[in-house]
Amino acid sequence: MKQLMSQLGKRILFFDGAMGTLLQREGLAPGQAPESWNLTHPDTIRAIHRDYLRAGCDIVKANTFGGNPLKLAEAGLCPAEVVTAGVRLAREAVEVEGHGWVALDMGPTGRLLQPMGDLSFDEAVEAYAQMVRDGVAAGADCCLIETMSDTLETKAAVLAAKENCDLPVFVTLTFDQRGRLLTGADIPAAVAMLEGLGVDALGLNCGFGPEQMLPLVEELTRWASVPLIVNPNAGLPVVVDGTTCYQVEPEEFASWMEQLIARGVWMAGGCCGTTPAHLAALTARCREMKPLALPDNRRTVVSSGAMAVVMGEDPVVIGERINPTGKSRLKQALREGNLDYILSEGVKQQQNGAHILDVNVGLPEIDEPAMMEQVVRELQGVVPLPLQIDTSSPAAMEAALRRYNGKAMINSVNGRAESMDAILPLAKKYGGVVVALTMDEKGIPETADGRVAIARRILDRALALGLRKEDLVVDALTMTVSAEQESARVTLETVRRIKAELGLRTVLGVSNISFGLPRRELLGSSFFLLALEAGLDAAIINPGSAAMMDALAAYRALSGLDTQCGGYIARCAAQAEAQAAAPVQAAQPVRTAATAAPDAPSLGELAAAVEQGRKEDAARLAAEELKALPPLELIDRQLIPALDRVGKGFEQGRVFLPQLLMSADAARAAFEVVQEVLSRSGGRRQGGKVVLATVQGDIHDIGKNIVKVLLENYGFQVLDLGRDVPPERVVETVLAEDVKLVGLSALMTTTVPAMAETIRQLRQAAPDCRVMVGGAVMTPEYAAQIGADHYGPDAMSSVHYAQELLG
Amino acid sequence: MTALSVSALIARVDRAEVLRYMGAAAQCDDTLSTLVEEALAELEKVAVPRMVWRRVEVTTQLDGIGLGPVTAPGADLARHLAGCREAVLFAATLGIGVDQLIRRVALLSMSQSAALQAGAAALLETYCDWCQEELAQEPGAAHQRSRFSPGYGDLPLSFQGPLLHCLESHRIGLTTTAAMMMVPTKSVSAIIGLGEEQGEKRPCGRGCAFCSKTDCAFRKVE
Repeated sequence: MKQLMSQLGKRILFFDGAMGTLLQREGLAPGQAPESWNLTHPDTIRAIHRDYLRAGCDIVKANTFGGNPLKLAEAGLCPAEVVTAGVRLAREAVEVEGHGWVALDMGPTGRLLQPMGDLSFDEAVEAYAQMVRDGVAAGADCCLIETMSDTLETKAAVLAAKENCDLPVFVTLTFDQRGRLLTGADIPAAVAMLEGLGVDALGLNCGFGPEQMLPLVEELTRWASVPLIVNPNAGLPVVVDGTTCYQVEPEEFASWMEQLIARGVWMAGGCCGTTPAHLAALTARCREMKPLALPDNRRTVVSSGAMAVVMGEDPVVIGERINPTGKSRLKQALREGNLDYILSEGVKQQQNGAHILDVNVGLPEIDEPAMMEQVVRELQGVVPLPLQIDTSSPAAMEAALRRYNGKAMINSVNGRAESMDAILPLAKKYGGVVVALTMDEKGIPETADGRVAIARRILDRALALGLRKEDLVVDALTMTVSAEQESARVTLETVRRIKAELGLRTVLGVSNISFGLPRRELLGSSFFLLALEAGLDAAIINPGSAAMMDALAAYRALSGLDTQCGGYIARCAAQAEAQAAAPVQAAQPVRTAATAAPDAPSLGELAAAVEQGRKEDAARLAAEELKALPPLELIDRQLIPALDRVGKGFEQGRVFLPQLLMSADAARAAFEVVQEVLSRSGGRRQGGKVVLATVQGDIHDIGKNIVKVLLENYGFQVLDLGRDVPPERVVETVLAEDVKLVGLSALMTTTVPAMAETIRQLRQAAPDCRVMVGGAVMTPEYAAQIGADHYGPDAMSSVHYAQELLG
Repeated sequence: MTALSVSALIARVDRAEVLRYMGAAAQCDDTLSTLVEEALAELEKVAVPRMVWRRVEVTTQLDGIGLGPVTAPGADLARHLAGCREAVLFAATLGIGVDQLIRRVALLSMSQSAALQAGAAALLETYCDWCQEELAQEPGAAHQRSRFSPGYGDLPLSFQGPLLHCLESHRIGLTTTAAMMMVPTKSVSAIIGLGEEQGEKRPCGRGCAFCSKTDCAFRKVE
């Protein structure tokens, strides 16, 4: 029998149609696992495969779609048994009919991966790997990963397939009609990731019929460079009497499929609602069609689980702020494992207009691979932008790339042999756009000639390893102009020549240029403009720098990239509006009726801003006052009294939760400013430590987060363990950090036992540690029953308890 | 079913309800109403409401109440569905984008995050209500009991598993964690009885006076 891959592209290959639809007709009960029939009704399964083969199908999907261990656990079936039987039955049908190939069919796990869900990436890979090993042993010819609606889960399945067999790997995704997956990715993002992982073909299945797939297939032909697959349903699902039906008839199905194939699809079949009759009509109509040549869609694309960023069309801003070099506050956050601070730096950069975020967590005293993996995962839960993994540790690079949702930027490789040996194979395996630094073991060449030569060497090596030219972006290296007079010119010349001579994309870290000189932003933004004019495709800068972003906006307007200067005008308008909104200095401190008790003395302006929840003002005023007042005095004289007054108002029912939170936000903004100053001098507020956690099984965390912000405002050092936290982790942290107060939150009655268990373990391991509890289902009686020391009906109550206990 | 745009749903959201979820009582100044409107505008950009439903026969079983292929344990749901020959199994979600938005905003502002939480909860309710209106157009579905969800009364949360499995809720991106929490978090699963006439209004079947959560902000004094 001919090899499957040798036929791909020579003729149209046909997948089979639905299995579940036919099994339901044969009596499969709704809710029953179709895979169970591999064991109970083998003849029926085999007969269906044979019907499809006789209808002219080339590839039959083994009845293993839901056969992953995570999914079968619900049904009480043995995955190995079910998968092995499923592949064997398909194999037997192929042998009897004398033609065809067997696809090991793998669908979703039914669980959502971290950080949005609770399934870890490694568990997902292992679940699929088990299927692959069993399926291959039973005689599969290829792996079909289908009906996927989450890029990260798809990546887990592809890696499992590639790491456990040499068979072709095909992937089909289920988009909605807007062209988005349920977890948010669009077609360019999904294609970038899958091609980066090296799948052999990709496409669409399920969701709707061939007619609705037409625009999506057209979009795919604009982005994909590998063969395309379509396995649509027999039309849109229609609910009749509460049951889902598919109503497109075989001939109509086939005629739509003909149009899809005419647009460049190489492999075609069916999904829900299709039958051997549909497939017979399809193969009869389209068998003689010739596959179109593959389109050349090779662009430089990085992606996340939500979006793709293309380089080479419009300058790309890579945010540089998540990097501890020279940032004492970030160093402190990394040492303390304060993830929220790091994540908020990411969110701010997105708001300031970054397209990609650089992530560097390298500090000598931390476990970099573990920290990188954690930061990348959690950052992807809150920011839709693609990330640039920035580390000199190959272990940290691999830990992050493996679990990264999408196709990342890889920062970086250089001309040293060891660097290329370590980094380029990672790019080949996991996909990625690699930043190539024009330096090697001899250092950074002083001439453009030297730098171009290194870029060429890295390119040759990358191509030899099977990487695509588009997946290399060269960093011509910015040197400090005050140290080397000629360096700026050399860098710019290198950018020009890399583009002209090698046809590669370029990137620069821009900020370095002005080191040691006055008015750094002036030099930086001017150099940025020159580099853009030299053809720079991406710049690693601080998107919070107005001067840099202004330069970019001006460049885009002047170079014809900004249609009717719309972006430029909008940016200027927003700036004008922000200026107008900045309040005039109030001569008298304002006192609001809602917050201040009638006899309360008026505090300063900063305190008023906090009381009224004016966040921007609070930060600005704090910065001003710090010029005259020492940080700790500012806290004691202004911020804490303001918080106390709002808190009191809240307890007396004059202030409601939203105002309390707005005040807390304003105070937090002021504390951030104070903390900057304190970090620079190595100091910090010396509040007691409090561990906070939403208990195991519970994923609701708003209550815990409110308590956290208030405690932090009052100077407590909060160790936030997050949500769904196992009792053991709470205990470990309490012991390791010598913590005397733990706050636990639970929202559901079903998670109260987890709270009780956490308290029980704490009592055993750390008898002198106090426990306060809260959450929607908590009552004072419940709290007493499970042995808590304190019940907090609201967030202020936990502050008082902490003050009482820890001072 | 017809479709309703997210902006139309946002327009329908009861603002007073959002404020109540936020713990803002009845008072609402400009700052607060701006906070709410901004939250709803952000939600409009990311919410992708999806629903799935399935009509099933209600039967009496030895170990509970039969709903088509699944059996729900306990007495409270049976009481709620008394007199119904049919029921609709129902699930709806606003999509994972809402979870991401709330987590993102929570990093920078608790007040905005709380407004988003409340706005999303109200939007989800509005969407479920709209789904029920649409459902009422189906033959024999004009009279619907209120939505009864796993976790209400003595219907255990673990019933979430069979209910969502039977609805194939993964098709709308609705999954559960190992502990049966729904992800995306702004999701609803429920059983809606179809009866001849309007039945018991309160899903718990007993009313607030009997509830053990005595300090609930939404407790109604009767």
